[in-house]
Amino acid sequence: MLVQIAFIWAASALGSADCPKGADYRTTLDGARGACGVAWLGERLLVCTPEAIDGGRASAQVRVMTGISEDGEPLVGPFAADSAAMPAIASASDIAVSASGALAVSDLAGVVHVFRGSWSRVGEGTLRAPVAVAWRGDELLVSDASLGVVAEFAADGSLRRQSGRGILVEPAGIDVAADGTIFVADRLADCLWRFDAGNLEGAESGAPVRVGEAGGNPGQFSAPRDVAVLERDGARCLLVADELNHRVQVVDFDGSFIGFFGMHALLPRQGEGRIHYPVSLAVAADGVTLAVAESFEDRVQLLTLKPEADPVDPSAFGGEFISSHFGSEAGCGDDILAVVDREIEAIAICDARATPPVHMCVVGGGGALPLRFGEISAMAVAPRGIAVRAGDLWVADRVHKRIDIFRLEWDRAKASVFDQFLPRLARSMDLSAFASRLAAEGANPRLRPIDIVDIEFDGSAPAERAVVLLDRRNMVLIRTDERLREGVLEGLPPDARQPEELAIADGLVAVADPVARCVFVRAKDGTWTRRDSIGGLELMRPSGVAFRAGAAGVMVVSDAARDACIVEARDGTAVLVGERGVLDEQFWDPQGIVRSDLGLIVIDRGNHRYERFTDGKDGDSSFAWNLTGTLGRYYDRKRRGSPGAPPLDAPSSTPRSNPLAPGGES
Amino acid sequence: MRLRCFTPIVLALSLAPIACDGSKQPAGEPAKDAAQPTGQTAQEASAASAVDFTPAARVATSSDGTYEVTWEPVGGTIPDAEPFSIGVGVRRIDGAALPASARIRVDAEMPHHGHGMNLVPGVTRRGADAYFVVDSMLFHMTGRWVLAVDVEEDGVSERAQWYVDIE
Repeated sequence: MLVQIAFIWAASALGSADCPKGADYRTTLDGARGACGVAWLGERLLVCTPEAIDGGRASAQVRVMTGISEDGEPLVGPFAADSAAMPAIASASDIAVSASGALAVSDLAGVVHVFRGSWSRVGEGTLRAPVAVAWRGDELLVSDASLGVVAEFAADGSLRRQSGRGILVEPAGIDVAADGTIFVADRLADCLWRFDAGNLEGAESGAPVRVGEAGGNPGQFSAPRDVAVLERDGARCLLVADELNHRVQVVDFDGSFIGFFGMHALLPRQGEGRIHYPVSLAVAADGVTLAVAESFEDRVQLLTLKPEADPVDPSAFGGEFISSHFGSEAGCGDDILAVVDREIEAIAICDARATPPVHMCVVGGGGALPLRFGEISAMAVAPRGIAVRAGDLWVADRVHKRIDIFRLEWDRAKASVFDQFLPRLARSMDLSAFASRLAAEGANPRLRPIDIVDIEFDGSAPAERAVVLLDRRNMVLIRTDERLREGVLEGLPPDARQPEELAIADGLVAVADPVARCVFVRAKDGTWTRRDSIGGLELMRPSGVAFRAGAAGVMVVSDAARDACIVEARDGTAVLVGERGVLDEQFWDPQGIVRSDLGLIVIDRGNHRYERFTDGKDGDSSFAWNLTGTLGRYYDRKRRGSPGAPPLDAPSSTPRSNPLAPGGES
Repeated sequence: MRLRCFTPIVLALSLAPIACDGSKQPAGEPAKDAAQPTGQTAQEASAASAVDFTPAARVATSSDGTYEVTWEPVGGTIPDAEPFSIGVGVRRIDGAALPASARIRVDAEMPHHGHGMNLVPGVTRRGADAYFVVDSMLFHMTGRWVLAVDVEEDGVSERAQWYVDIE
């Protein structure tokens, strides 16, 4: 028997002026891959994901949670009875429902799909990277992370104005109070912005007010991704998806701290009230039911808000926890492996020659001081044999708009040890000044602020073109020298959307684009081709790409939606390597790929680790797992239950107390 | 608290491999001091930048070899856990004058502890000379500090740095 979601009112327990300070867990909607937006349509919860995989193909991304079964499990159905009515959405990023029932789904391809009895497209040609939507009456508000503005569209779809340019750093989730006050979460500025009612109307006092500051203490934010206004019974407060603090925080309209809850899933897959990387919030009409989307965990949790603060959970501070939070970026140049730890905005440097790689030092950390990073958006280690100083670590900082070069020199004849004095900043290059120099060259168009999302080196290029920067905001490749003295621009194909990773080998360039769901390949003659599939396997959400050794143009692509790598062979066939899971040769949101002397390294972001695969030099299908690593824990033999390893319940011929059997832990 | 490495006998040529006790790094050890030996004495550097440095001043070439940077504490010593000032001279290796638009930034940190100074230094360029006075320096802890000078022209900065051991 099905039970329609009947929200249990706790209004009597919430005083008229009370805002919630805690929340009780209700249920989890699992399997919402990359869940990035939630909204309530009456008593139904709408959930959008970047894509849905239906029969091996990407399809409609909006699903509906229609109720909860008697045993507490969520009941899910398609958004529309006629799924053909759904528009083609490249990559959904958020969803919002207006008071009158209009629906908006933002699409990272640069458009918002609006449903008012029929579907229409809003913002096409204006928007670049719409990441969040909200309604103010019949007007649609859109946060655009690339433009750094809140765009406001009239009911007829026409653009009314764009606000916050030059102030908002990377606007994210947005919501509107009953009096018209607009709140915008700013992921990179670590704060909220408050546009008081009327400011978007062009009032002279139009500058938004900053609410909150960066940090992990009560009232501080670390990469806030969404904000939800809660107004009922005289209570006025904000719920904030505080992504890198792994919590939902409650503050008043001025940012004063009220409470927080959800802290903190210490291990991937922990839940039942513990929150891990929340990205979207929606409060139901009852005012007490909160939906929290966690794209990292591919799920939505339902919580019941309550006036009492959650007690401290003693188990949160003991037992097992992970030692690294690897992000999507990695770099490797011969003997140096560099992996971004997104949680502390630092880079772990390892000696890649060894198995396991030896952790040697940490570069950076969050903050504004020299040697600190705002957000690491790209990273690479210069290999030998190119016209750039080998071994230099290149780091692009999206917030500080610069590229820093770190030099790592140690005696390679000796055993590598941890030495925090090892890295030193050699050079720092301002990207705004670089953009000015590019524009001054005349042949180049004037650039919008450069946003480097990947760095590669072209061994076949002369020194003045040996460095290749992938600029997502301007949709160009910038070929330049190691001091960014000058450069030439090369446009990406017009159907590129959100290019993520770059690979260069043998004069060929590959660009993985998870929103366009393809890899663009540039031939030596400069022509681009689009690869939507490899060896018959469709690219769902390609996040990383690398060329295989010894076989020109043969690729490996990490596919975050498939939780696998698509490995191409020289004969054009391809195989899927990996599957969803937490063991070896399993992935949870695989991201960037880099080459080391001991194989290709794939960042397994959702498991906070990397995995390394032997890459046959003849470009055949000999692509074999050989290492799973985090900081301080490594497996170089597969654990039970991993693909190709004995099942979990298989009898063991070796004592279970042996940590190296049957999978070896180093 | 006193600065052990800061003795008048420490000249530019021997600065790079000097450890905190004044002894050289063992053979084969990676160079602990990021400063590159320049082959120039502090007096020579001083003359090049038209600034009077004492023989105890420390000299290093920036990472990519564009600048030679010299510094010493104003008054000759670093006080115990008290703010102090340093003088910094910058000379382009290619002999060109340092442009008026060039800037320097000075900072210090303790890599083992993961923190920097508690004060934000202020930099003042003295006239047309490539000489800068840096106020509000503070080494508030004993141990090994990294003192860094970033010289910036046209949006590209290069770093010269030294180890300074405080006990």
